[in-house]
Amino acid sequence: MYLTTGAYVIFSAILYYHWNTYSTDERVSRLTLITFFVSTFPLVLIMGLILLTI
Amino acid sequence: MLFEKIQLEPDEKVLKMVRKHWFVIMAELFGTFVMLLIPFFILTGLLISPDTLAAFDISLSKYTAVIVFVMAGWLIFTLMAGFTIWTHYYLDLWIITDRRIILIDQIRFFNRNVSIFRLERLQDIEFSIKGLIPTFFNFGTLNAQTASHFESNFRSTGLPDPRELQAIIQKATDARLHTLHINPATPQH
Repeated sequence: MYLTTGAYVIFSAILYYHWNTYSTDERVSRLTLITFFVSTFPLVLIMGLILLTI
Repeated sequence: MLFEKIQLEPDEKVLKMVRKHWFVIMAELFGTFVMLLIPFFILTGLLISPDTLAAFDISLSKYTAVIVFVMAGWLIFTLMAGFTIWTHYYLDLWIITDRRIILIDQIRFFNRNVSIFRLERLQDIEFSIKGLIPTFFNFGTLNAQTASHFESNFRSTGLPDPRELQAIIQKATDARLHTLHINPATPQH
């Protein structure tokens, strides 16, 4: 779990940096980052909740 | 944003921005999509044939939490792979202006090549479309050779409508040479 969370946090920071720095379209950047967090953050939450309940 | 970093010259106009053809990204994302579905396929397979599990005296209901945990982890890593592919696709770019060509090659995260060459130094530009799928979807490779000792040749694969791109670059080069010929005082940088 710690490994997954660590990898997720580092990847999110890298993704945010690249889209914020190198994108040519602010709208696409925003949409990409929102889609990423909306699709992945609930999964991290689920993993955390399962770990708490086990 | 990128254009603040590239710093276009005064009056420099962007003629076209090109990314790789949609088929290229779709082909790459298809692999990720299949990976995303693998745990669901396995789970469905196990549910369809409960005899396999019964042979090992395993009950799925006992391990629901573990299964969901593993699946969530799998989905996170697969989604990260998918977003990596999308990021590399979107940040890989050809920018054709009326003065130069800017080629941005996003190889990996933190591995990025930005090449710029001026149109008046362009010696030759050629395209090739090889294979059934590239011919059908009209995408191919573009090669640009420059006369400068300091700039290397540029090559990019999977570009959409390379014939049109070649024409745009050729037209822009001719216009640039014409401008420089009429007004040689125009700075060449």
